[in-house]
Amino acid sequence: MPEYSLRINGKLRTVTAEPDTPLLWVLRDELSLTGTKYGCGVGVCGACTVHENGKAVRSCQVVVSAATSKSFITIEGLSPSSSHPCQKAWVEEDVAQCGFCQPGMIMEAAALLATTSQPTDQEIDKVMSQHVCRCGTYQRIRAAIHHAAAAQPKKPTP
Amino acid sequence: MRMTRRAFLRDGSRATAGFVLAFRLDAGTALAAGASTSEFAPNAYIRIGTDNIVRLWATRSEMGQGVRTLLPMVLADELDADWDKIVIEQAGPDPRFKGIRLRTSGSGSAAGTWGPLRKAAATAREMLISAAAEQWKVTAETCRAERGYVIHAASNRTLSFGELAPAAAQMPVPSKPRLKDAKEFRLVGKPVKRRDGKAIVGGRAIYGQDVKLPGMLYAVVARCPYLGGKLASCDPAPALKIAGVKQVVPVRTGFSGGIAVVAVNTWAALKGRAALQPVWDKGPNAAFDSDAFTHEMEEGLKQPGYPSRRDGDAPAALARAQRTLEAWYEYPYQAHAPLETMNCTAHVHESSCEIWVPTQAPEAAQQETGRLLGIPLESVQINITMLGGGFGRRLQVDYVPEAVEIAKAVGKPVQVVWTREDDMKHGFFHPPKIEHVRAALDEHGFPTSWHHRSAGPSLSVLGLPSAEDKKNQNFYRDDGMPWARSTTLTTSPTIGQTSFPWNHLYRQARGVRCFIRRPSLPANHFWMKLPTQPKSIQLLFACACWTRAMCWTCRLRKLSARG
Repeated sequence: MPEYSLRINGKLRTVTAEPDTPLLWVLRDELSLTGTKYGCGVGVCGACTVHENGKAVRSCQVVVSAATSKSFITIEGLSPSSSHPCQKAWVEEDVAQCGFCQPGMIMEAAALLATTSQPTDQEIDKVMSQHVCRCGTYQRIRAAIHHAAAAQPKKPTP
Repeated sequence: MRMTRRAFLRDGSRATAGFVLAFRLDAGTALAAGASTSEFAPNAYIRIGTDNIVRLWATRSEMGQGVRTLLPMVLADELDADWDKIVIEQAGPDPRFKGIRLRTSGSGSAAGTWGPLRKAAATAREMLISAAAEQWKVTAETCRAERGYVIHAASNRTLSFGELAPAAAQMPVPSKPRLKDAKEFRLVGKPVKRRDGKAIVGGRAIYGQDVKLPGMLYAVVARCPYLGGKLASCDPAPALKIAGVKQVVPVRTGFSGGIAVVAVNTWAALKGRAALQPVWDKGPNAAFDSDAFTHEMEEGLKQPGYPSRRDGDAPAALARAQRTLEAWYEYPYQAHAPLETMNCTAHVHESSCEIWVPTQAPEAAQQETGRLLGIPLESVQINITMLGGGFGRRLQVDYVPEAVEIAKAVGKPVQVVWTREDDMKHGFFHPPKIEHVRAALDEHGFPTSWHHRSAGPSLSVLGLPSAEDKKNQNFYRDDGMPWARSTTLTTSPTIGQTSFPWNHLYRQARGVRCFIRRPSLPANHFWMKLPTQPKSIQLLFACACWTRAMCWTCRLRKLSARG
């Protein structure tokens, strides 16, 4: 199997994998970064969402051979000791039920806030409704994103 | 609730000066509202160490209901423990918890554990206070416990639970510990953040799929697509050609027989499985057709059916009624579909086995494994991980023996993962049904008679029709309203999961919701009259409100969901 060097959470990691291996399985099986979850494997549920050069992507849809030139952040690398405004807001709003989908939700929300610092309900719904939560935590997810948005330092208006 | 039997166990490792309380309530005495808890004995298991840590073993699985937060809340309040010094452990089926229910079902995590845990905690508190009182040579009544300490206010003396633990272990067990009044609770009844919240948002919570063992291999299984079918033959060669594939193993246990591909990682296993071309013996359900089955259910509704309830003469009352309503409901097969698919990690040793599994039914997992391997239950260790959703699917343990069988064949720890497709194709689906409801209404829109006919598969796994089914279907009190119900059983091959009372309850409530949406009088008037209605009607309307979120045909508000 070929070797690949991947930039994950700011570090260069070398893995041995078949070229068509989805990043999801590289993260989970090879690098033990199990915070990125498998829910469907076909880019539908969003549980495996990570950041690729700052943008939210489904890691099950990124093959390892195409990943070497990019920089990835997983839930484990989103912040030191879960201190990202989204992570804090998620705890404050007690969003999680079973919690399985939440790392993916948080990665998506963090990417949203990076481009839209004060999203409206509609903007939140548009993005987050692409993720599946079987427990039905969507209302609290929306509340947590508003919470995180309010907690972010305000950017000066250009 | 009455504590009918109590075991006070002196911990074998008393040298470490902890003290351990184990409680057991005999079956039935702790029955809370709800149908499924009557045959189990809920209990709690506490350990207080000299390090002031209070360990609490969770006797239910965490699957999103928050039981691993609830139990420490109850403990902290009743024991007066320091919230930050409580460490929660997961109880598993082993001799220490013999006779203690660990199964998580029936929405009973709180109802089933609350009472026994309070008694356990109150007993511990009184023994700690007694130990302190004896040491200080004062009466216990003059002492109190507070956040991990026993305090004698008059002399301004305090001792921590840890300091008192060795002496407390020697105290007599109080026969009737005083339970606190609800007013004294600091945590129970108030919003408390999930204790595992931070681990979840950091991606550090360990679910079944996150278990990693040294030398562990990964497996996926090609299962027979026909229920009751099995593997006829399969050439393993195409899978073995895939890089990373180690072994191809026939599987006879589990939900459906098939063939497993074992590999060094999940992706290789998936590719290996895709390369296989198994030949299936389709079994007795080869010709099953959903459309034909729906037709069979429709025809079934016209048959006399199995009468499960008959109060008065509902058809006659309907024939006389001025106003009637009629509705049909059709329910498809439905998968539970928890977001974490089924998975199980097993390591089979020569005469023992260790399992890591997200399960609602650890006792069953242990029994199935013991039976499969022919080893005693004590030799099967079940480690319960967090569950990425349960929803009843994880009350079934089909995916455990499957993993054990594969791990035994491989001789190494193996994690068997179901794909989403596996989960949707092979499972214990909610059974389909067709329901026909006719009701007569009075001038206020309340039903005055009810005739309910249903047709669906025989839930043979439930042993229908049994006395229990009859009892459950008579969920409502007999208060004189003509009420008839019959069920026609059809011949679906599907294994059902959701039990009858809930299905019927749901459908009846759905019927009522139709009536609510067609008020003959202003809504306020309707609701004002409700308390004067028979209990059965009140209950129906309560259920109708409860099922609002379950109404598949009503329009949902944005970002709301059904489940």
